[in-house]
Amino acid sequence: MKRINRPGRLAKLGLNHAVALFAAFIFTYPVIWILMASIKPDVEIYREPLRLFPSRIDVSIFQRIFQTQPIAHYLVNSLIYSLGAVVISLAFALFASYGLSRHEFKGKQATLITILMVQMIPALVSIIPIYLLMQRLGLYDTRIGMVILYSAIRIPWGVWILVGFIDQIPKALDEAAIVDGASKFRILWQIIFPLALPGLASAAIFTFVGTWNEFAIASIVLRSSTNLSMPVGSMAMIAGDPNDWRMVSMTATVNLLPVLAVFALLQRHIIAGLTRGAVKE
Amino acid sequence: MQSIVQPSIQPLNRQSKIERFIHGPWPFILPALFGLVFMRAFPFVWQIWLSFTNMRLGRPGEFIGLQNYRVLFQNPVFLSSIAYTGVFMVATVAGQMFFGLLLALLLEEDFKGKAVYRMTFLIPWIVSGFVAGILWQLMLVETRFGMFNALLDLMNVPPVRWLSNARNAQMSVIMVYIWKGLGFSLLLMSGGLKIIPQEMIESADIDGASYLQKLRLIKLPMMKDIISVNIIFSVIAALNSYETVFVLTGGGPGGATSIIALVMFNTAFGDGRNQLGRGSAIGVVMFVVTLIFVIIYVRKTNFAKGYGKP
Amino acid sequence: MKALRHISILLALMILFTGVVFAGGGQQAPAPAEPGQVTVRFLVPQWASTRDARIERQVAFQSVIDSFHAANPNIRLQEVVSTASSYDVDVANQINNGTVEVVWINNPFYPTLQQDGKFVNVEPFLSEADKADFFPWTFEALKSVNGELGGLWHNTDVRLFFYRTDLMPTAPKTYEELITMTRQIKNSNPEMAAPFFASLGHTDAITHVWGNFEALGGRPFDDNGKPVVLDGQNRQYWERIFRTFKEMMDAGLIPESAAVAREAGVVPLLLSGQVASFIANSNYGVREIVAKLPAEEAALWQAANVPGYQGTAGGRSVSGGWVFSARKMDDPVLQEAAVKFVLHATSFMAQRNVNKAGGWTPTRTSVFQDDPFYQGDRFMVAADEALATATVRPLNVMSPIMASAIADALSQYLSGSATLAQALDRANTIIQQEFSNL
Repeated sequence: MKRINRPGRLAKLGLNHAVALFAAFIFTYPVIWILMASIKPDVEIYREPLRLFPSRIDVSIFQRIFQTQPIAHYLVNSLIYSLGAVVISLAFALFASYGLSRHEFKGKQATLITILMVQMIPALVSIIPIYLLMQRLGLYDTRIGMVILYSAIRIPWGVWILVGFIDQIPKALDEAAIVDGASKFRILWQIIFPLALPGLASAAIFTFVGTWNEFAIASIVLRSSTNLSMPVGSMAMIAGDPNDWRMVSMTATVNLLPVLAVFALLQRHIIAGLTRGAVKE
Repeated sequence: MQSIVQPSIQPLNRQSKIERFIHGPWPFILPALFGLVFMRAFPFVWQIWLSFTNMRLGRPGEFIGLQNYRVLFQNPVFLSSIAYTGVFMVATVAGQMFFGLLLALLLEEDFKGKAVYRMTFLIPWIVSGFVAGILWQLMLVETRFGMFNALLDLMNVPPVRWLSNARNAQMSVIMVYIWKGLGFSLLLMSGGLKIIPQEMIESADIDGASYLQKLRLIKLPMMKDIISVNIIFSVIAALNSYETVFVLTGGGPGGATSIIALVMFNTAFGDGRNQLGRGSAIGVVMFVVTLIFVIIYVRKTNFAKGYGKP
Repeated sequence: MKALRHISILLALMILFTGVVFAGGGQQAPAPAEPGQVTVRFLVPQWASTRDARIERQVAFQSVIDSFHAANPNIRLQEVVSTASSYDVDVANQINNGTVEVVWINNPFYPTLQQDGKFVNVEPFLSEADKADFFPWTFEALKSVNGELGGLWHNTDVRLFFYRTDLMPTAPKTYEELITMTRQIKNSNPEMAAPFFASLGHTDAITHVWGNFEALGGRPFDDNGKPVVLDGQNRQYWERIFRTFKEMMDAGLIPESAAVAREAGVVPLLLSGQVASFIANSNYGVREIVAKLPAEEAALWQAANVPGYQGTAGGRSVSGGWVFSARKMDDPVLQEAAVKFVLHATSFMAQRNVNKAGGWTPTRTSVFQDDPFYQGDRFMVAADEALATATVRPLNVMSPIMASAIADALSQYLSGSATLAQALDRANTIIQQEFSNL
């Protein structure tokens, strides 16, 4: 390392912190602002835009939206969709990636490329046929349909992450188990599964957050208040009174908090999974 | 790749085809592949057929050939949305790359609290597009009561028409998407910087290279692959953006910020006539453009040899 | 492995949880019909249903259902509440799939479905007294699609000019007067953000000025039904209308945000006390001013007919509103029951209760005459006066296309992305292209 004289180093340190602080401010201020706006009393939000912290904490909006709107329903639905997509898509993906990673066969590359390409093309581009498909299958506006759809959308992503993980597990372990007479399913369950857990964890978190935040597809496949997911339900609530900014920010807050919590707790896994999914290091 | 598993399975040629199938990889792969083909790949194909029909919600379509495409490529709404989508794509991707690299380089430096900083940089990326739209809509309110204009007011600057002036609205949308997508490119860039062997940097230090020289001659060339991957991912994401701009401007003013996905939604589900056929044609256009970038990516990462290890 | 055990338990719990919820919640079963009974399902958006957050609306809608049940013991009603992100898509779906019998729809969505022959002609079921009671334009508009009356107008809204009497003692009759008045307000209150506000960003804008366009002499269609709304004379009328708004915006009399605002965009300005006058739906009096402002501030507000243009037949308002329609179906018994509900839902009693709770404007003259609320409320009185000369926008498949193309043009012109000529040319291209592709 090059030696830098002391004042120079201090200046550099100061500059680093200044830039980082500025960036952090830009990235987090709107989020903090809306969290705070949701607990401001009556018209403060309209009249004092520069005030970040509320003059007093008022949670009446929180009570109001939970009492008058089926927001609890939306939360439960989103939880079902997200967890359902996590469990189903990862189960399918784990099986598939085991098959892909541990076998050499004709068509393997073709399969992998298909999966990769399907993963990279967002479902948004084919939203019209997806909508018609859900109608024809009788899955339109049903919770089971939404879980199936979200799972199918997330499978390629899961495969993509897990193949890399399973590749890294030494094949000698499988061999030893085969010598012991274990079936492939036992190998998958007792050897591969535990060793692929870090990969599964990051795929799970990523699937959870992605599904929780999904808006476009849910907005056309769901219609009744018993089935709406959190973002679409929020949109319905906001459409009723778009200028009630306190209600709008409280709705946004309820959307945000679960994701922020998941992120704060499991940040490391998300980053690992993302980088691994995008580029195989 | 060397197969170690296969030889340990009993002689294959004595088994029937069915048995061979059962012991092969397909029982593991097929369930996932079925879901994939049925729910994801099939709609792509079906969409191509739909785009040749005049289907409306509630009216089974008749085949009308290329009529939808002909109408679209004469339609001012669609054409201007293509133009803006192009600008939007280039600008957001360039912004994300530049600031992503900047912040990644910053986080490479040695100072305290880096982990916390990185976490805050990633927050916009974890926020849903829907919430991001709401957030910025409230920040960009145009009277003196909007956060930004109130700030300008303090400095005696007249209020800015963030969303009601066509140019400004286009810029605002781009800014919001850069804000939102920066975290992703920051992560990739950080990953790319980590791959660079430390010895190379050190030998450059010994040669007395300046920071910018090191960046230009060593770091950037070493990160070439990861930057191009990053660009492709960002381009695809930008091309398929929908919800933030839907919430933020709804495509306004006068269609100035209506990106292509918004036009597709509006044609199919928004304007009361629900022209699924024409909407599908827009979807096909989006699909084809996305596919081009996907193919570039697949080639770039040399995927065919050893699935994706660059 | 401890982690493994934990995660397995977690996974198992997740699956269990998912299973339980699926088993527990399902689709609502249709209300059981007893022998000899038929069930009529009707589709309404959540904010106009018994599930709305506002108690007075819940009560009003329930009263309509209950009174129908009392009068028709052999018919059961089932309310289908929509929370779809696009109510129009939901309506089209439910009508096409035959999953509801009656729908309540916004008038721009009526033409497409009526054109496709989805609705029953209710004219034969109407008594002479009913025919005389509804505002005549409701029939004209609904029949303009294909000559049949595919529904009944349940509530309307008419554009009104709202103004603060302490700043603007009388309402202006013309835009020219309005400009003079708002200039004075701006001069004496430079802090005021909006001496005047009109939402000019969406089709709302076209509803604000359609009456003026027609009063100037505008005719949207020629004798063959071809849209000529932007040809010749008509184009000059639009240019005059557009220029007036641009002039006001450049002078700071209309806030620039109006160029992208929907009608509801006035509410933040209203709540922050920053607007002196605005054009909006008649229901903004009851629903926003009275409901949300402090009483003494609300008392300052008054409403009048919208301004016109100098040298024309004065300001004419344009009304919109929502329509009850019954789906055409094979079962004659169910068909009759559905029509009965349409008649009931638009009856005197229903219109009075529901419109009062929703803050909407009734379409029966008798409600205005016989209900003390509509006699006493100053905003409703103004609405009644405006309705006397109101016109209705043409209601055919082209009219929503026209409205959105012209609204986009206005928004482009005001937001600076196009010149007046460019914006109108573009709008005309779209209108003619869509017309040739109908």
